[in-house]
Amino acid sequence: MASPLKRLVTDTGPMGSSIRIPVGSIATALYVAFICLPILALLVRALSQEVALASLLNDNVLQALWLSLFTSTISMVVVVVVGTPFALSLARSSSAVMRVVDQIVELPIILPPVVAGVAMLLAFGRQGILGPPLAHLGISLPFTTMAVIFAQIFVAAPFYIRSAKLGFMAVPREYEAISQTLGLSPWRTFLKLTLPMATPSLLTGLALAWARALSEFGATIMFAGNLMGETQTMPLAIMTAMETSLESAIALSVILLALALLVLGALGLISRYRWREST
Amino acid sequence: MAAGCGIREAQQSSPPPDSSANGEDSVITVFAAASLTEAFNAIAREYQSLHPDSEVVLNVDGSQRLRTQLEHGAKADVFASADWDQMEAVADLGLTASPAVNFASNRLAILAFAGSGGNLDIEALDTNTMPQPAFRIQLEALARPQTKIVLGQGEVPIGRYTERLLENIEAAPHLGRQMANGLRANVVSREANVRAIVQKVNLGEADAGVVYSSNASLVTAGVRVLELPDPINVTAHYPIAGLTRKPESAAFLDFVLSDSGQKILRSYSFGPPLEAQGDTP
Repeated sequence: MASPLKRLVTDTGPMGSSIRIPVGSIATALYVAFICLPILALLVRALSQEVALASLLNDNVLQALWLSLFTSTISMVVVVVVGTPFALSLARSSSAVMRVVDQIVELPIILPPVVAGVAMLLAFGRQGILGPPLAHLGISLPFTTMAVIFAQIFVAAPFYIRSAKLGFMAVPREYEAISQTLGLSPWRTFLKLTLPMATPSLLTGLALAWARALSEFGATIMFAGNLMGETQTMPLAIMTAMETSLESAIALSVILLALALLVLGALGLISRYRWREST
Repeated sequence: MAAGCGIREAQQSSPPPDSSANGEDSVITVFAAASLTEAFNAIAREYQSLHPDSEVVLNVDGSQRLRTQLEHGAKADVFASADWDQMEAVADLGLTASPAVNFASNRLAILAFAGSGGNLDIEALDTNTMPQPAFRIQLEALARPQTKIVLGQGEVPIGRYTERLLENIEAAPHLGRQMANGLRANVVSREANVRAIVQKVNLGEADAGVVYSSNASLVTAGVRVLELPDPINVTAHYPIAGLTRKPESAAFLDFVLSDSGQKILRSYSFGPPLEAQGDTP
């Protein structure tokens, strides 16, 4: 997408090229500093303070870490299994209904997470719309690990679906048509052509969604509460630690940051590998 | 526990209302415990009507969170805490301008959701007016499996007071350890401030929660307030201190301690300030 600024700069001819570099590098420097400084400050502080990272790896933290990994993994499995065919139909359909659905997908991104949590209570809570039928089945969602997963899916799924939809839209329909005239079934065409071509977008979306699920806080504390081993994920453990000691909270934040980087790094590696393979 | 090195960098998260007093010099920023929300709103209104040129800016949250904000350079003129631990932590850093004094006291009460869809035996709750034996029946209902109880985090004043209440239940001859452990086993969430506890019981998502007696006015229709008998109840002491030497800070403090300030606090079910400074009940 050509931004007006970029167009303006490139349109000024020979002079322009000499301007573009400073504008670009200043913007880059500003942005990188803006993003990196707080994270760097967190790291420096974590490494220099008295509370050592290792001393914090006690049972409570390991429980929170495990719970975060477990719940976000389940959430991502659900998001991929349901979100992928959904994103494909969003990309392939031009009906008015699907265009409306397309808008609805992004609602959870706009909603403040705490509001999302309240909304989930009103829908799936004991007193919520689905409360009585669920109770009939002996299911009570609030304050359970399942509620943590619900909250994560709610806030994180749009990131995957949006990216997957764009990925599928970028696959030319003609390729699929040719593949089918060559005798491949629609299902095999999807597996052998559409899916591999869209994979980088799917993985990017998955990375974003996973990061969002790992950092989920507001909807979780509203809908699932805060109980060690049951619903206390890393962000909630950090909030709880903050009440006593900022030092532990900082150390825990670094652990969560490392976990997020690990997940993102792994997905990045797979993405690069897949990309090379398919080209 | 408190960040030992006493860091004072600029506030990084959730900045409190701007209080840099630029322009208007008679703004009084008051950091008050979450349980004081309604009472301090009323006090602020009354104070402003007496001092039309003053503006009171309230920042209410869990006392321990206010303490953290103060430790990291948040500017406030007055700090009203729900317990002495948080006040002493602030005083230890030299942030108070004058020694803290008790200005109110509070007791604990149990909120119980008695609407439909809950897990409580409602008949057991209706023994409300009777003394100790009836209270035991109520507690037994709460200690039954399936009951969902929401408490404050251990670090938050309401959480600490609740822990002491559970110890008192454990020590009481007719209640005992089994009862206390039954209650502990039913805890489904630990909230960051007392208002979040009230909210979850009001919504009917939790069956019960331990709050302050002064919170009783916040409950909605289906919720009962179970008073705790004196021998096991816990007294919460609320200290207040000026953090700046501005005359307005002192004036606001005086007003809180004055008869009219105390009358407002009484009307929100707070008790009078008690002698004991420590936390012991």
